[in-house]
Amino acid sequence: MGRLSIYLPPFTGDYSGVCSALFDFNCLIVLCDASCCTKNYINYDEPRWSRNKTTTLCAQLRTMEVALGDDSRIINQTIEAAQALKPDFIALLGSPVPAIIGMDMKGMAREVEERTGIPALGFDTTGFVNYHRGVSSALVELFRRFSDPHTPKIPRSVNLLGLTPLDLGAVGNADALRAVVEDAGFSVVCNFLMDSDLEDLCQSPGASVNLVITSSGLALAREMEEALGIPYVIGMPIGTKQTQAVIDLLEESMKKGISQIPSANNQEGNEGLLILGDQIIANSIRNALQAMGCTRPVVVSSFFELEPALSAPADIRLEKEADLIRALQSGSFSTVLGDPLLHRIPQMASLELIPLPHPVISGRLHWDEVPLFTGEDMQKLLHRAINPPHQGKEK
Amino acid sequence: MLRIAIYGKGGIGKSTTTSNLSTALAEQGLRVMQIGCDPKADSTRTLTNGQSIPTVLDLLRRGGSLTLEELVYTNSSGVLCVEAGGPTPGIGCAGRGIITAFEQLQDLNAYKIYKPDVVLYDVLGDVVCGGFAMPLRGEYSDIVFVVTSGEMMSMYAAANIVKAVESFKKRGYARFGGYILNRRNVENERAQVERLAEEEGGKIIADLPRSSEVQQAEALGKTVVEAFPESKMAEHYRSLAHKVLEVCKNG
Repeated sequence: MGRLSIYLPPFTGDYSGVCSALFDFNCLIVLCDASCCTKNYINYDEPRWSRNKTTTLCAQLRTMEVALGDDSRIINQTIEAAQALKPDFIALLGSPVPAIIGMDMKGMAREVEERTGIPALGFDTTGFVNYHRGVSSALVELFRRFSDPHTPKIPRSVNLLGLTPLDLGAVGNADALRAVVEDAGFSVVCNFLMDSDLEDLCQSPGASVNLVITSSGLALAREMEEALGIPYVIGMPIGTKQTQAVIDLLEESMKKGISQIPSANNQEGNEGLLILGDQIIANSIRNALQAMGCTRPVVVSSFFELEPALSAPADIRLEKEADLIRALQSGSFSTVLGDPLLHRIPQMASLELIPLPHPVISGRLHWDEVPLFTGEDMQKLLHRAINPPHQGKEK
Repeated sequence: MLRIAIYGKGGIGKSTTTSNLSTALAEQGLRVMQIGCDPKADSTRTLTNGQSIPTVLDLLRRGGSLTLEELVYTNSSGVLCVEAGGPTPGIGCAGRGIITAFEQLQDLNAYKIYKPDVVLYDVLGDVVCGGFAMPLRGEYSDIVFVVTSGEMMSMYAAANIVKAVESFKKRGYARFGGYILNRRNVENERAQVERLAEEEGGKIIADLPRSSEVQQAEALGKTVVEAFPESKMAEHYRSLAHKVLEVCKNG
């Protein structure tokens, strides 16, 4: 069956990742597709769509334009729309068809910028890769284009990197994470990229340290470290002890000017817990559980990025659904912590499923049920996961 | 890093010219990377003793993770050889193949890690679609040279390429550096190509005579510069290398 998924839906693609990263800006987004990718993004990948105003246009590619490689109509209509809407910047995004015919999104953006005087960015999104690539490239591109490297340093300040509703939903996680960091005596310069504006982005080089919340923030953290010497800490504040550990790492990183990456460990034993999701969030859940005294083996797995440098030896990179089924059948796990749609997999029947919605898997079906990672619901989830199902749970 | 794309009609001698250019540049102490952008994957054959090297697409087709060491073959002159490769003949999309190969090189940080002084893209035939225009993009090349003879079809292809480069200018693409005349000994050859240059713009930057040493070297699986370093033809390629650097430098 190769890569065919029988039980799980297709995951969110890179173009939706870029769109979600641009959502909070006064940005004109032009998605160069026939219409289906735009519909995917609006209907299934953007929890904020019905609540906020944004401008995402579908280029509505047609056969002859594709066969002839004629992108002049898209450029002209983008210019027309930009003149009417007066956005702060414009983004042109690709989809599978432009990717196949080699439509040059960056070149088109250069032409649009030259003709309108409005900054324009081109993203060679393809739909062939996952959301993480899209969010990650959007963060890096926006930083390169709009940040001011000469911003004076702001003492005890942090950028939060990798905030995306595709991992965190739109239930208030951005505010909650900001509050945790501020309560520890830091100021937040920029949330990359939820609830921030161009001014925050411009000032982001002034931060003393970056906190990488999800894997989508990692590329930007590395770029900012290389270009500006800003160190980073990896970890989502989850649970009291893990949150304190993250804060301690921020303090240490700021003091020493060196990035801090918490170690990842699997413990030996039976009745393991398999966590499925974004690697950095899943690692943080594991660290939180271990800090709470969890002794069962905890293995992180992901259909998305799984950086070897951040992985414990037994962690599993899932290329396809069949890899997950193999892991579920291995007898190593009695509990799975992951998206509620995992219950569709027959091999889950004998295992306990602790639901943690991941919008890139179940989309609108469960995105309102994403917990506040810093809150009570997450704490309850940790207590449920700490012991195997038959041993009873902590209260 | 100088990034140069070499275009021209199929069979006109682009790969021969590019490989000799690479070797001549390497002789000057420059670190050169030559990337063959043709599904036939034969751009670097005279740099690799006539042996085929695994292409980027072959390795991607195999699946699993890919390392730069597998993709990049360093020859005896120190030239870094890469072949993009292509789909099985008759199916797939060769243009998308080129794009995928380029993306793979970027993902693996090939340019940052090998730090070549000069990257040469040897691109198949004409600019037939978006994929084959990829080496023209500003992210990849700074300058484009077109190899042509005085034959009509070769000049026709050259004119099309120059037009494409011109029309992509506003998108920040590579600029046109000039024509490399690779003689086929047709009548009034130089005058024919001069007329082309006059009509389409640009200059002839080098005039390479027809030489049996080219075929002899190819039979040995080598470049002329390597096989017959003392020959007049090798000197022509060395002059080409100097001229290319001069045109690149003078903007």
